[in-house]
This record gives sequence, structure tokens and C-alpha cells, in this order.
Amino acid sequence: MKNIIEIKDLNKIYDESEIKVHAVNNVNLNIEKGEFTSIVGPSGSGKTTLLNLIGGLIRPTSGDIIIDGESIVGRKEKDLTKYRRDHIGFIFQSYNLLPVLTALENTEFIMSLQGYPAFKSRKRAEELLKEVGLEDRMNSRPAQLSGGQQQRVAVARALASKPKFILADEPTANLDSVSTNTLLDIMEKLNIEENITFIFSTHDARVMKKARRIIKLVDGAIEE
Amino acid sequence: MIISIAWKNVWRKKSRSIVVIVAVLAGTLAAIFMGAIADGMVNGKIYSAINTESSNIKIVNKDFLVNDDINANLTINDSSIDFLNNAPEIENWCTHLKITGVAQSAHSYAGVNIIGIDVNKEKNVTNLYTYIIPGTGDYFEHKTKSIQVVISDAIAEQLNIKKYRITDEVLDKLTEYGIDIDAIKKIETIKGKRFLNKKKLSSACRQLFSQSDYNKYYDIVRVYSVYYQHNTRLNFSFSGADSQLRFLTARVCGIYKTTNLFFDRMNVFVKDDVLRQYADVKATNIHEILIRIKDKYDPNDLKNLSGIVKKLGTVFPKAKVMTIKEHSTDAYQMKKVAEPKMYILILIIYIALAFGIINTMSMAILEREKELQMLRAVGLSRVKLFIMILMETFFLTIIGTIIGIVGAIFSVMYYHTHGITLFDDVLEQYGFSGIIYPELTTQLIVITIIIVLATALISSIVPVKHAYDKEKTLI
Repeated sequence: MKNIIEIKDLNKIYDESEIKVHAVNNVNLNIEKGEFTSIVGPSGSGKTTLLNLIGGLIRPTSGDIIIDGESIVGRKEKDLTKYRRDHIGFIFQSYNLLPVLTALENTEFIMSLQGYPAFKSRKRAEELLKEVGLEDRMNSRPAQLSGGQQQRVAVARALASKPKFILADEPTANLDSVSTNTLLDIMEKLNIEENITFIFSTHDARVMKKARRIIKLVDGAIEE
Repeated sequence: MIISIAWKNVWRKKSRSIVVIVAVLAGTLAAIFMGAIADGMVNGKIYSAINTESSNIKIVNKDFLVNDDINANLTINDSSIDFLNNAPEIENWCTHLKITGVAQSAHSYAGVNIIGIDVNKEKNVTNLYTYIIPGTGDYFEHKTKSIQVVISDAIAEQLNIKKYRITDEVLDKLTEYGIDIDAIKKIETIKGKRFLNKKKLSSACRQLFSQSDYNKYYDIVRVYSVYYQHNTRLNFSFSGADSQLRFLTARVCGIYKTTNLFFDRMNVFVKDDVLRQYADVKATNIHEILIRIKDKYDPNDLKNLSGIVKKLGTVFPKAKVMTIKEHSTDAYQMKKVAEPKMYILILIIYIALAFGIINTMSMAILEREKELQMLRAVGLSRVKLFIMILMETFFLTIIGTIIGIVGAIFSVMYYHTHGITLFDDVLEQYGFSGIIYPELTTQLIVITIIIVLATALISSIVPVKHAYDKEKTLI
């Protein structure tokens, strides 16, 4: 299988305060297309930092990140923004939906940034919401949805841009067990049926159980 | 979609946004309305200077300007009359014989300019005849054997021709006005008594009323009880052309009141031929020529008058040819200063509002920290983020501005017809009309809108900076 993500000798050191923090320590990692991978580890082990680095949200201190054969390290801010918009789907721990938009509009939003014609993005958003089981809540605003429903909207939004992979930072941290199971089923289904690559950080044993690959981080380094 | 999100964001915290919108609305309405009042005041003064006092162009002997010497006059001959009659720019013209003297009534005296006019020509150039107070007579219209003089309300007051008397008619008017019955009863005690001037009426009213009732009723009692002694004889004394003291006795045929108290305090009008005869001034000698320019030459734009001013300078080489810039310098300067002053005031109001807008927007941005991080993470560019925040600021500002402008337009429209009486006594003391008719110019609205747009742009910089600062802490 082809590697979609190749990480070579990656380091991230935060030196903003007097004490330097080696958040990611010499990480080497390959992720193949279609993986359902979980990054696990205790708090402060560097999971979120690693996801931020893969997502091009922060820059590494050293090392390289190659996505689909192209390095993203050293790219200009403007290119990185475009790269994130077009190639990565994000799912956040606290959903981060726009409260002023409906579920449908939240899903359409990224496509509008990509310049999709309105009727096309509307159609795709409707399909995606149907896929995550929210066809009857399309016109509800986030405040009118439960946590699990909001996270499913976030999944639909992450899929909207047809990304190469999805990064999810503790996606079930705020969900009850029913919502967690529903969400995991949806993500698993998308992974199996549509070969969508998922990389998520988690503490949750239920999520780890579903993952087909687990990468354990301790003090910023991968523990085999 | 960015603009739609920005619009929806404005209404997230309705009460907070409404406070800012109302502040902008009040600021805009106040700024434009004040601008319109200032314009109305200054334009009223300019209108008076041109239409009542000195017309578009005034020609005066240079020496006369310095010392008002009766012999510092201009000679008007056939060729100059021919020029004034035939110059294409000139609509009408008239001359003044102007002599400084003293007017004396049976009770008092006042220093005045006695102006000799050709009534018919004067009516074609100035509109003083429209300011005759109803019931006080007319503008030399009825024929009489005695010499006639038109004086002002201010001079009538000074010479004690303007008096005050409580009659049954006055009491009826006061009752109709809604004055308290007890107050009417008090006023009735001075019925039939004549007061020589307002000071005496005032002291009588002070004895009748408590201080608060005096403040409430005195003005209205004064207005309703005023009357002018008709046909009063006045004696005028002045130096003739031979420097000998001359006397002229005339009867008041009409009393005028313009919007410029300075003008009113100084000028009385008699017919030219009478004054000329009494002062022994030749028929060809005059002191002032007032010229009205045809409207098609747009005389309000002084650049358009430069040609005719130059030509008049050659026809009257000893004279100073003056446009409003010179003959009513105060009005002209006020006009020049009023507009920039107004724009500076509007700017100050919006700078103050900008702080409120910046504060509101900054709070809104800080509250939405995670949301903005998400937007940047999923690929919202810095430019689009800036546009979104700019649009939010713009909406906050423009809603209040539009309502403020519409409110100001309606208020100005109403008061432009009905007038505003604000501190009329004070304004008249400074030569302004007691009633202000606000005027709104397109320029005032356009500049307000430009200032609003600039305010929105500047006010969005700080919130945008906050948003940019937060973007690095993601997921």
C-alpha cells in the first residue's frame, strides 16, 4: 500500500518559556492510505502536537513531513492554508461548529471556501449529512443538537472537502457512550466502505478497541 | 458565505450589538443635524447679507469706508448708468445716500445711519420691504405730506416707540395661550397701564409674580403686550455736505425687523430725494451702489463674479468693488470655517464611537477564540478572516449610520419648514436669525458616509489583530 503520510526525524521543541519542552521527539512514522489509526498516550505526551504538525498547523523544529509524496515543511503560510482546506479534514474535541449556521450550512462552509458552486455544495452537504444519519436535522443549529449530533456534523464537515485524510483530536472526549459508539460506527463505515484514512488521538479505550493500528506516544517519542 | 456569517455574527449578542448601533445612530443623527443647523445659521446670515443688506456686489468710495465722510462719495454719470443698465451680468442695481446722524424721539435718542433710497429701485435689489412688521405701517407705500422714515424694531425699542400695554385683547390672548387663571388675575391688575420699554414691563411683572412664574410668563406677556406708537415723529440731526448741522423731521411710516440685529440697530431709511435735499448733496453723488447679479451667472460662486468686478473697477476707479467676501466678511468667513469645523466635529464623534466599536468587536473576537482557530485550521485564509471581521464591524457601524442619516433627513426636512427657535435672543445679538432653518447638503451626507467607512475599517484593525494572534493555538 502507498504511504499517504511519511514522517522523518520529526522534532518539535517549544522554547517560548525558560524551560524547553520537547513535545515531539525524533518521530519517524508512515501512514498508509485507508488506515484507521489511533495515536494514544497520556496527557502531555505530544499527541495533539503531532496532529498539529501533520495538519500543517504548526511548524516542526526539525525533520520532514511528506504528504502524498510532497513535503509540507517550509511551505508558505498561504500555501499551508490552501493545503489544509483542500487535503485535510479536521474533527475537533469540542466540535467547533459555527453556532450561527445550520448543520447544512456548517457542512457547506468548506466547500464554499473551495469555490464550489452553491447548488453542488448544497447537494453534497445533504448527502453527507444523510450518511451520518442527520437527514432530519439539517436545518438545526448546533445549539439545537446533542453533542453526538454535533460531532456527526463535524464529521460531515470534515468529509466535505474530499480530503486525503482526516485528523481527529480526541473526537469522543465529550460524548456519552451511545454517541461514542454511533460516531465510531460511522467513522469505521466511512473507512471501510470509502477507504477514507482516519488518524485520531484518544484516551478512550472504546476508540482504541476500534482502531486497527495504535501508535503510542510517551514524552513525545513513539514507543513501539 | 463569509458576508452572511458576518451578518449573523452581528446578531449573536443582540443587546450588545444594539447598544453599539444605537450609539452610532445617535452620533450620526446628532452630527448631521448639528451640521444642518450650522449650515442653516450661516446660510441664513449669507442670505440676509445678499438679499437684505448689501446684495451680490456693493460699490463704495474707499475713503467713505474709512470715515463715513458725507463728501467721500461716488459720482454717477450717464456712462456709468449706461454700463450698470446694460452689463449682461447685472439684473438690477440701486444707490444709497448714507449719512451718519442721530435720531431723536420724545423719550430717547440713537445713533443711526440715515440711508436715502429710491424706493422702486431698492425693491428690485433688496427685500427689506418684506420685513415690515405687520400692523406697523408700510414701506413708503402710502402718500402723505410729511417726510416718511422706515426704522427698525431695534431702533423703535431704543427710541421708546415700541411700548407695552395690557389690554382686554392681550388678556384674551394670554388666556387662549393657556396661562394659569391666577396668573391672568395678577396680570389684570396692571391692565391699561403703559410701559415705555421692556425693562419697565419686566420690573412690573417681577412684582406680580414669583421667580418661577416670572420665568414662565414674562416672555409671553411681553410678546402679546407689545405695540408700536403709530406715525411717531422723529427728529434727525446730521452734518450736511457743507459740514453744517442739519435737521430733518420725519414720521415713522413702517417698522422692519430683519434677521440681523446689527443691521437693524444701525439703519433707518428715507427717500433719496428728501435726504439729498436736506443734506445738500448733488443728485449725481451717492455713497453706495448695490448690484444684483442674474441667477444664471451663479453669483454664489465668487469665481463667477471676478469678470464683472473687474469691469466695475474700471467704471468706478475711486471705488472699492466688494463681493460678499469683502462687504460681509463675517458671514463669508463663517461659511468657509463652518464646513471644515463640522467635519472635524463629525470625525471626533466617530473617533469616540470607534473606541466603543473596537471594544465590542474585540470582546466578540475573544469570545470566539476557538471558533476562529477552527476557521483558520480548516482553511479560512487571513484575507477572508479580515473580510469577515471587517464586514461585522461594517454592519455594526452602517446600520446605525443609515438609520441615523434617514432620521436626520426627516428631522431636517421638518425643521427646514417649521424652523427652530433656539436661544433666539442670543443668536439675534450676534447677528443671526432667531429662527434657524437647518439645511442639509449632499456633501455633508457623503462625507459622513466616508468617515463611517473609514471608522469601520480602522475599528476592525484591533479585532483582526486579536484574531490573528490567536490563530496559532489550534485543534
